[in-house]
Amino acid sequence: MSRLITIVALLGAGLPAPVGPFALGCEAGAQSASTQDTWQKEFDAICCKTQDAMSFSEEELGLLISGCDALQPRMDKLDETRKKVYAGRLHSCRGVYQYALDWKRTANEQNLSNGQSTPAQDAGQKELDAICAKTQIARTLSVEELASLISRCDALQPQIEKLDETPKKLYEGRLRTCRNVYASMLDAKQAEKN
Amino acid sequence: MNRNAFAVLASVLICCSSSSSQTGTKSKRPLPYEYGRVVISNYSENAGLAPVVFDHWIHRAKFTCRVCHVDIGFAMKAGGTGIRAVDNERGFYCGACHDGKRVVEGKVVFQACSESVETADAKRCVRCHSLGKEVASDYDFFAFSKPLPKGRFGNGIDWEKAEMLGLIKPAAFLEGVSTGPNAFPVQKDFALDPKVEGMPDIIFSHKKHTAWNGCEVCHPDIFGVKRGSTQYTMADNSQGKYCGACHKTVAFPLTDCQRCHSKPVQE
Amino acid sequence: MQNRPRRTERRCRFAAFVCVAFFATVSAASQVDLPQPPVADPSDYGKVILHNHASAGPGPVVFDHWLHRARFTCRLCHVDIGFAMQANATGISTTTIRQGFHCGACHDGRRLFEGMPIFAACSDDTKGKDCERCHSLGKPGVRKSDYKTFTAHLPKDSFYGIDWIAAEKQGKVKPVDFMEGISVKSAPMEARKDFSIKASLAWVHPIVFSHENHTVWNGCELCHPEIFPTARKETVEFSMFLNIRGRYCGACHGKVAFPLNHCSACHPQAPIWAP
Repeated sequence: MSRLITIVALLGAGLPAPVGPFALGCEAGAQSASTQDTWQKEFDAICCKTQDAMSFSEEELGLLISGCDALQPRMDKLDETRKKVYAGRLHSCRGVYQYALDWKRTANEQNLSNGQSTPAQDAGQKELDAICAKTQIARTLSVEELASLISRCDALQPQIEKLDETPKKLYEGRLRTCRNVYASMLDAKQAEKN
Repeated sequence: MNRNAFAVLASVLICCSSSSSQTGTKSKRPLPYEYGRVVISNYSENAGLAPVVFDHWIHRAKFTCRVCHVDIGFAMKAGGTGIRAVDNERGFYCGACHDGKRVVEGKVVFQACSESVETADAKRCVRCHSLGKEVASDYDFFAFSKPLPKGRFGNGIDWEKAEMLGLIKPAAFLEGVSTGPNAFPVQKDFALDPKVEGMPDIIFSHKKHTAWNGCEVCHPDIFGVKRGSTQYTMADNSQGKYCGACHKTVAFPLTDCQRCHSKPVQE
Repeated sequence: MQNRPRRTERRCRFAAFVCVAFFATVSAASQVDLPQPPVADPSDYGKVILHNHASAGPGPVVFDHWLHRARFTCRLCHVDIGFAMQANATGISTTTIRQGFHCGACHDGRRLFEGMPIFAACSDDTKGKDCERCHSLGKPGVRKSDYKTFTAHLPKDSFYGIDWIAAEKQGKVKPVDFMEGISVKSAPMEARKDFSIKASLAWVHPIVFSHENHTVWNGCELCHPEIFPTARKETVEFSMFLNIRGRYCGACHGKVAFPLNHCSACHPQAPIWAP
């Protein structure tokens, strides 16, 4: 409740609320080259957290959507170019918050989980993420490190086969893709040595 | 059936047989450097300039789809944005980067459109307003694509693998334009039933899509909330709807079946 | 039925006649020409004349499908290399050929076929001696391959021309489906079984469609999803009218693959008097 009050007060003042797990809004990081008018500050404050839309509660999302709706009629004060640009951006931003809100309501009605999974699946996924996070730097890894990642992939394979059909389908493909990346990089490095 | 009704029916049948639906024919495969090319001609010709030719391949190596289509606000259809020279001069749309000041990968990005144009500027104008003209580009497609992993179709580049291997590092944040940090939490991958017997299931990877698109490019305009509530078919995709919004002209095309229909695969 | 005054009835009939005549004329004028029956000489079937740029210089190009389809799959050229399925729609030029696209993907003077380099297309080095191998319209005797000699050993179709399906099954042609540097390997997909398509007219015998016969030449990508996208579980509906106009089955059958008036090839139970 206090979080909501903080948010309302800060958004109402047209200032961004502090970053952190207990507040919406963020720093006005958009130090745009063009004039920072009040409207744009409010837009930045409301629309800078679309990537966290799924983690907000229904009340918080409702608040953000109301904030977007309040900005809409005030767009007439903007020049023609900004009106065109921000019409689209506001539409996208509001759309994502509305989408997240609808998703949560549907999930609550149908008792769908927002990614609930079994402990085995969670452990498998953690290990998969840990192994496969290094594909971007595969080139910089040594032959030993690549070989070790490949063995971890191979060790994970039987665990994934024990999962339910849908997660098994998903993770098998991802594991194979990332193993192939490491294996082809290892082959290339070994060929270079010879 | 009386004769009048028959005449009307006959005319309707003949009319239907000449309908111009988009399916049933195969278009040519664009050349690798032509794939993702967008021709924009809202206002250029009125201004005495050739239409603009925009190539996706050079831009998508440097920026995510989200930066341009959400943060800057370009539409997903040619001519849909309505970009004018004055918009660019004010630092929006193309002018968000093409302002003669912003530095990308150590190079100053040339300015798009300016209030006063001199003869010497003509060379700069045709860098974009180039339809039908032979214009030398700073970037050669063949040299650019050589080190990147090969793809079957489209640009002949496997963009997804290139990003995974770190060979390209598309920026997800544009200083002065993007509104916030852009580390998107990954939603779960899921499987889609193709409903055609024998076709492998579609494995949809949120991770691969959010790396380029964030949330807003797809939701809610292209894909609605309830999984299963958005019913669509390959015919819809072929017409540029749903998956076809990207996977027809810019991302890997729909002919690359196994990229989506990937499980089970018969080895 | 209510009795109508005669004048009104005549006017209705006249209006209906005008509508039908109008639509028929517009329809005929705006669409692709109806295919002619197969030309007398099968050596001309599948011949494509390309005249985008060449009329000012060496003259139009004559491309014979029979020579290429004996060696390569349809998929290789129309999917991997990317030729259009209609004459003059690809946009082939000397520039694209010299960049290694279109004809230049193989005709580069270096790529080997059966141990011999394939002659270079549009090359300055050959000093014009190979131009007429392609730019041969109206120039008799310049082509190196002769249809009769080339196809002498191939099984003939009962209706018309070569039975390419039998030729491939008997191993008399072995069309290549992969070209190094052009094709990219992908995981194979299970081909669907043969199935029957019910014709919308009750008196027409059903079509038996063989995926296997088609995928050998076309893979999946040539037909799907552009020519035959699926709508729910089946492909979109189409008719012989559309086939005749070069869409759906008519994209191939009528110009290159066996023509549409070979009824029994698709409608196997067609009466004996149907070709």
